Amino acid sequence: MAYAIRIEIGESEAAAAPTIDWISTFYPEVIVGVEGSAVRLESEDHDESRLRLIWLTSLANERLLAWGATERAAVFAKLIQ
Amino acid sequence: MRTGEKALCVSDTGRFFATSPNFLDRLCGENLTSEDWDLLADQGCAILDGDALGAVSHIYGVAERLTRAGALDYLILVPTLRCNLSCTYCQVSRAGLHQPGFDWSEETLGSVLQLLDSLATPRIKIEFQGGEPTLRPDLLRAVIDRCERFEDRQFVVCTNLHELSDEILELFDRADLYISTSLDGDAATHGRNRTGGDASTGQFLANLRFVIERYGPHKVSALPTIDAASPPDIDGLIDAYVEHGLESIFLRPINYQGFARKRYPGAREQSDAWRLYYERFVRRLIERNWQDRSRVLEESYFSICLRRIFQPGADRHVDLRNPNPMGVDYIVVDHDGTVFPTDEARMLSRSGVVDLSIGDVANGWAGEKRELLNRHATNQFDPACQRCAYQPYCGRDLVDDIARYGRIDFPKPETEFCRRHLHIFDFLFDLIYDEDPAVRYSLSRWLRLAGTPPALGEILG
Repeated sequence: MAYAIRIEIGESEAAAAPTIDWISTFYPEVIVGVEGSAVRLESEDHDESRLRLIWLTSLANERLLAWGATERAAVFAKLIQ
Repeated sequence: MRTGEKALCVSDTGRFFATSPNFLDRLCGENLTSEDWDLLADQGCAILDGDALGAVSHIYGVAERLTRAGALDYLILVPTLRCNLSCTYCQVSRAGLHQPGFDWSEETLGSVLQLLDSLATPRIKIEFQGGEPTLRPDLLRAVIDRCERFEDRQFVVCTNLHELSDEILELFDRADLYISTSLDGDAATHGRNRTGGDASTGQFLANLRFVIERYGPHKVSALPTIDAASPPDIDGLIDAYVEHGLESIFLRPINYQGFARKRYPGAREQSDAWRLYYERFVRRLIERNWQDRSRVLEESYFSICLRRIFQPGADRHVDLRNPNPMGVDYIVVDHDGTVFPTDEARMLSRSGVVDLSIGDVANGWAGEKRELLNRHATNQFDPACQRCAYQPYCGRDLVDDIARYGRIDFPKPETEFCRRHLHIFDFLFDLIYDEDPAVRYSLSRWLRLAGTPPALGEILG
């Protein structure tokens, strides 16, 4: 049985595109597609709530990566010194 | 996480907590409450404005996760490539018992001794591998004698225990020497894979019993090599170890190299069958530890990975660390004096796949090749690793990537190293958040804790 969810994404959601890419990499069993202003996730292995969790986790990951990039670089610069 | 409705959050320092989709919603929507922020700060997963101590603590935590390779103090020495056995999965790392030209020459021994003299560290660890190193007790003795000046010495002889001469036993009697051998399971399995006939298998088992009785099980370690296509019965394998008083079992899948890899094309990757077997094995250890608490059985690599989550720096396991610099704090010296960064690099080179030698013991190994390898020795800047929750606990294995894919820039999530460790850490976090007291009991013992805490992982938000 296949499960699917559709998530509306705002135009300003810059993290959406890399999120879609990385879901395909880390969850090859999940099919990700864009439908207009929404993202569609489909899988035979994960039910709707798991698919939603995968989306949220991956989106949070991308956002944290973007927010923390400067801080992360600064930490490594300090450590290398 | 692999199951359920929780997500795992891990900071660069390796501190972690599990959380709900509602928390992630608030995070993604930039609607975290002040209570959320306070909880994150308490866990060391957020640094609030003006919290200088929190900032320093974060940097310290990140630094703790990074390997800082010191001076050379760990040598893997191959004094001979000759062996008195012909195991089914040993294709490139042995020569026939009477083949000439596969032992250290006088010059090579001299260079190894000179190298030992030049080391400025107070400690030394030497692992003798082969071939069968006990075929040359004179070379072992020469090296060991030369190490007397080190304050802290540890020697490991990796042996098939096929022959035990008086000369070898005299070396084994040393308190600073440990014995490492292979035990593939019951007598039939071990005989099929390694020793061949019943007499030879019986001789090995008698010698194993002998050294354990003489020295105690603390001095002897053994590991099984497993064929994932037809793995041994789990309880039978555990029993074979328990029977000898051995409590640590390092499950090792056959790692085909060179021509053997061509003969077994499917062997490039560990199969799902292996992962299933591995998981069943660990779960069985947990059950048996709970049933009989007089001893603690463990799968060694699983414990190492567990300790990397909770106790950074607890183990010096050179196969799982980040960065993983090569030819710096440990090297392999082959039977002809060639220096390799790892033992797998030695086998890969000897099987003719790619020459990963970085020099020789007489003339040094700090050349361009080593520098080239070490420019890529970290997982810190890989885009996939940066997005992986397990990055602070994981490592980097350039040689494994070269061995399997012929290159180091293969996408990480598609590499066997990544798949193997994703599986292990996924499984570990399942267990960390498992409420079964039997699971918590084993994890606490593997962490060497005195007691068993009520929970091993926090759930926030």
